[in-house]
Amino acid sequence: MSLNQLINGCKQHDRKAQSEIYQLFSGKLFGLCLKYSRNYQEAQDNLHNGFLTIFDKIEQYKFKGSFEGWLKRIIINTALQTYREKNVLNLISEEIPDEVDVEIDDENISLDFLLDLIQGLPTRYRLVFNLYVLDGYPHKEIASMLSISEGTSKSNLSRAKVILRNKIDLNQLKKNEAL
Amino acid sequence: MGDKKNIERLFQEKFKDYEVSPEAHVWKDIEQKLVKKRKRRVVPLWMRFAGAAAILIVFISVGSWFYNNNDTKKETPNTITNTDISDKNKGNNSDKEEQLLDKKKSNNPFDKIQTKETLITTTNESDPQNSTTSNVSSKDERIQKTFKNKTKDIDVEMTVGQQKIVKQTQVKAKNTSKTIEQQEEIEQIDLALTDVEEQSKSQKKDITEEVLRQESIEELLVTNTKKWSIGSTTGPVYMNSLEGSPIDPSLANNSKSSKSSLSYGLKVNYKLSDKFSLQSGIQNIDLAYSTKNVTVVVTSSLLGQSNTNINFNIKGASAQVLSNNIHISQASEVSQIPFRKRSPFDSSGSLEQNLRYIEVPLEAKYALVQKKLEINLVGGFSTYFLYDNEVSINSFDKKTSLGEASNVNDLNFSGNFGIDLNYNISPNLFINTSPMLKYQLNTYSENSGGFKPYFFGIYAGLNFRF
Repeated sequence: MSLNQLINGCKQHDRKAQSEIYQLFSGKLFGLCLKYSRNYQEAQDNLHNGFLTIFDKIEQYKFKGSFEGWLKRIIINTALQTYREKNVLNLISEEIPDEVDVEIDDENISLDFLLDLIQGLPTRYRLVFNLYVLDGYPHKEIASMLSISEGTSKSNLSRAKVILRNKIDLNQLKKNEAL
Repeated sequence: MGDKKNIERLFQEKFKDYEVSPEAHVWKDIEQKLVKKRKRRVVPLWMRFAGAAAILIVFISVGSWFYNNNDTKKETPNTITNTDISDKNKGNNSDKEEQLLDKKKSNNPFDKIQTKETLITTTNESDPQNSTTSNVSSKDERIQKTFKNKTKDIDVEMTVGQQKIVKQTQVKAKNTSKTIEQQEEIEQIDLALTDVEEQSKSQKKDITEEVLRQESIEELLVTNTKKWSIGSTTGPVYMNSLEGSPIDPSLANNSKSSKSSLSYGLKVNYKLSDKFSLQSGIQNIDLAYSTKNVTVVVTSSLLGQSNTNINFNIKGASAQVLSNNIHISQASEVSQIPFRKRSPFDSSGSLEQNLRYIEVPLEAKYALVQKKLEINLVGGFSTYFLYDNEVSINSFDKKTSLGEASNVNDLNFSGNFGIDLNYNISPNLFINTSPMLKYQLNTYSENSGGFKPYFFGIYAGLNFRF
């Protein structure tokens, strides 16, 4: 069965097609959820709600653009929605952007460690970092998605990068001490 | 030790193709939710199709009720005329032709029954009746079969239609450049997002929903702005009557059947409002109707008395059309019908009547459902212009043209009622199927033996909106 056939199956609420779509994309989308969420449980909730939205709205997917892109947008929107509701986006004070070009040694840095770092970021820093660095959204778009200014988006990004660099450095330091 | 890397690139590379399998229970939870949702949703969809099916079932059962009713009605008058005739035979030993004339004059045979209460039932009589019922039931089966096939066809057409739509949208997507499209989508999402924020306390609104709803609204508008549609219409038409005989009242009791004939033509539709539309067109319709178990004796008009509504081809010719129902009841008294002894006759002869009309319908439609599948109620009338009229006899397996029926009106009308199913293949193209019942108002001018025919047709065609 081709992807388009599966999508059409989902449009007719065919349970088998839905299951296959889930099997095909749940890995990637769960990875996405993990990056945007504070912890594993929250990521699971987002995946759950996101897939319900996907199957609910799949009739509206008109085969314009890539299906995966469409799925990702829904998952990201689901994640953003939860923070919008909790109103956590406005808790962070604004700061003047301080552009830094941080360079680090990536040997022996595990993916899990990096994920922990992302999840540990304050929510808005995390979202901006994810949207800009990992999912390629421009600042202008991020600004409107999060209802912030473009400048704030840029400042949040550099703040996030500073935090991440510091944590990585700290980790390296600990490792060196242990040796 | 290793490369120094920009932090952005570090994360980008590490998280490229990042995949984590969620726990198995996540899917189970989703599945449960989907089942619940589906249950809530199934009802209206199911109801819609059941509604359409129910209407069709009503049609079929009404049709078969007419058939059966026709049959039972035949039963009683048969015995009545038989009594009538046998009574007469007892009273005066006049010959057959006189009896028929008497019968013609006496419009109400019930009077005679009241005075002379004798009932003769013959064993032969049951046979033709059985045959008619079996005829009728086999016909019903045939109608139902064709109906089933039709619905199957519609199913197939539906899936085919959807695939076509999918393909078309894909083509459209390719035509517009991707970047522009994405930007547009993004912008729309942004707009929707700000809206949602404002309403966030009251409602969760999905962003993509907004965008896509706009698309579907646009599509709907495209179809809605087109008021006219034109298309072909073709279908089998069954003609039947509640009672009577178009040839002669004395044949009202003979079993009759109509061959399913074909109607074809053009259909034009004009949309008045969202719900109402008018439709008209022009159709050719061939009708064939046969009266069974008759004997025709052709004589000169100087010698014999004609009892039929036939204008003969040969000047001066005349004919006696005799119902063999009468013959059967008289079988024991053969001596009373002397001419039959002399002339060979075919008891299973049938009288065929062929009529050809140009039909111009004018109907109003009311839309019940306006989705990909549209369901409309149709009511109106048709005007018929007669252009061919022939009566022929099928006897000894030979078809002989006799002439034309004299009692058929050149112009007549029918009341129409039915449903109209449209399946949209694209915004411009749709398949139309409509089962229609057309009750004839004044097909025959006189002497029709109470013959009030009705047509049942299932029309189908491909239509184009513009």
